[in-house]
Amino acid sequence: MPFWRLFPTRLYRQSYFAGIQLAMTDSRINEILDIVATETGVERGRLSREATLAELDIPSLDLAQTIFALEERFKVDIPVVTDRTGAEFTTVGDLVDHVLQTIDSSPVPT
Amino acid sequence: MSHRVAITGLGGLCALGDTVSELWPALLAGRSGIGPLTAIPTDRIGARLAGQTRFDPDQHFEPRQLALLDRAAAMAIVVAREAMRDAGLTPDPAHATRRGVIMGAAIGQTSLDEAYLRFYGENAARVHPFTVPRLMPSAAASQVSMDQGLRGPSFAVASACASSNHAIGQAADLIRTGRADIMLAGGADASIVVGVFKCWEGLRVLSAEGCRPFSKDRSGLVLGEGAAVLVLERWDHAVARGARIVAEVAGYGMSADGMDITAPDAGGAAASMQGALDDSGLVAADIGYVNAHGTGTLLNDRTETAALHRVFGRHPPPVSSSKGAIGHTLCAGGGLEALITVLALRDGMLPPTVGFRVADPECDIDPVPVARAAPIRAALSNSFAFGGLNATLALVRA
Repeated sequence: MPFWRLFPTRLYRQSYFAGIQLAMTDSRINEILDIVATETGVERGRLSREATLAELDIPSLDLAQTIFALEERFKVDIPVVTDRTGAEFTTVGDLVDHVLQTIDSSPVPT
Repeated sequence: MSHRVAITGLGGLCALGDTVSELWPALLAGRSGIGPLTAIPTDRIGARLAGQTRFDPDQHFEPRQLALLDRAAAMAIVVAREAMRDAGLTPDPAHATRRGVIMGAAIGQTSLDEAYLRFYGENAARVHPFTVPRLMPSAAASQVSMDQGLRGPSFAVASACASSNHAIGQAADLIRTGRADIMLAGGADASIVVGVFKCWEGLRVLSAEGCRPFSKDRSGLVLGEGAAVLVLERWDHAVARGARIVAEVAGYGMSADGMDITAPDAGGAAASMQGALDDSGLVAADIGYVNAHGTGTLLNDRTETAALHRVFGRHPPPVSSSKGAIGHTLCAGGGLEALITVLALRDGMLPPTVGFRVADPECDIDPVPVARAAPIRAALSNSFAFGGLNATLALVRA
């Protein structure tokens, strides 16, 4: 049983980015979603903003592996969302927003 | 023939204190040993909190001895000495082969980190020549056997964060089956080194704020260091020498989830607790207290709660996690928590879940927010390791 089934999907969602419209036009999103698809083995087409990690059956280890790959690709440290340690992201959009926000607020690697 | 297993001596050190007589009142007072991570440089790691001890090996060993000791093994020797003193025991060459030690297997992380830093980080030409005997996961068992003159069955058991629970269970079995009269058992772990924190960081479970088991505002776990050793003794042997018996290891349960390398499973955890009841001839209604694995991660707390309900029904006995006060001491966790459970039985006091603040509807148990008196007769102590290896001790008041 995927561990996400152990607790109800959180109702709480937060968009760190200015808004969905802006976010969806960012070219980095495609690359982020490609990495998510590769690392989790979930079909790229199923990775919509609203899809929950629970319904996609993405376990915590795959998520950790995905974040590691994103950190390596974008040369950033993606911090833990501290008030939700251990269950940081409900939806794909949560993850994408957090990654974009991290990249945007990180100093450009030299 | 099955012998009863008495607990006749206790030794422990953790972030709450250097000895049993220090750490137990601190825990009952609700103090937390978790604080700023100051023992190591933090410029390349994210963690800022740890359950550090004040343990200073220099106070216990000569430099020549220390050259051979990882910090964890040094802790193990010191708590084993405390436990032996507490039991009124001294090395006994005439009966040495009837005495042994089983410790949770913990890599000597301090020595490994130091060696790799020198070699890879500083390009040093050589590392300390005793790095291997220091870091081997059985080093603590060996060092305790040498220090206490134990020549009977001795080894280390590896099951990650359940290691010392398995160690205590195995030691109890050796006494039950008559293969030993006295067994020292427990664990020691000194993993507050940069490399270990860096590796934990990737799992995204370390709290930046504090360890709050079963609390709705939990934010993950905090790593700690510490050690504990219990003296287990054949009941008749203890009685014959007039030893003070603190509690009894009535039995223990073991299980494997067989599911996932990190995510816990309620079925496996419940099987471990039920196994402890069955092995000890106790029933759920006998249990007055459960010392939880209680790491303070969402996954653990909710899974463990579900498991408690499977074993105990709608109203489990009071449950507390010691990790909110001492941090997650990894391979030593089972030993320290068994020690705390024995003290709870001895004094009829339930230790609190330090750090607990807000009830979580998904964890509908009594987490003992504040210590309280309760004349309990029997208790369980859970350890559920990464990789789904579980062990539960069933302990009974003497």
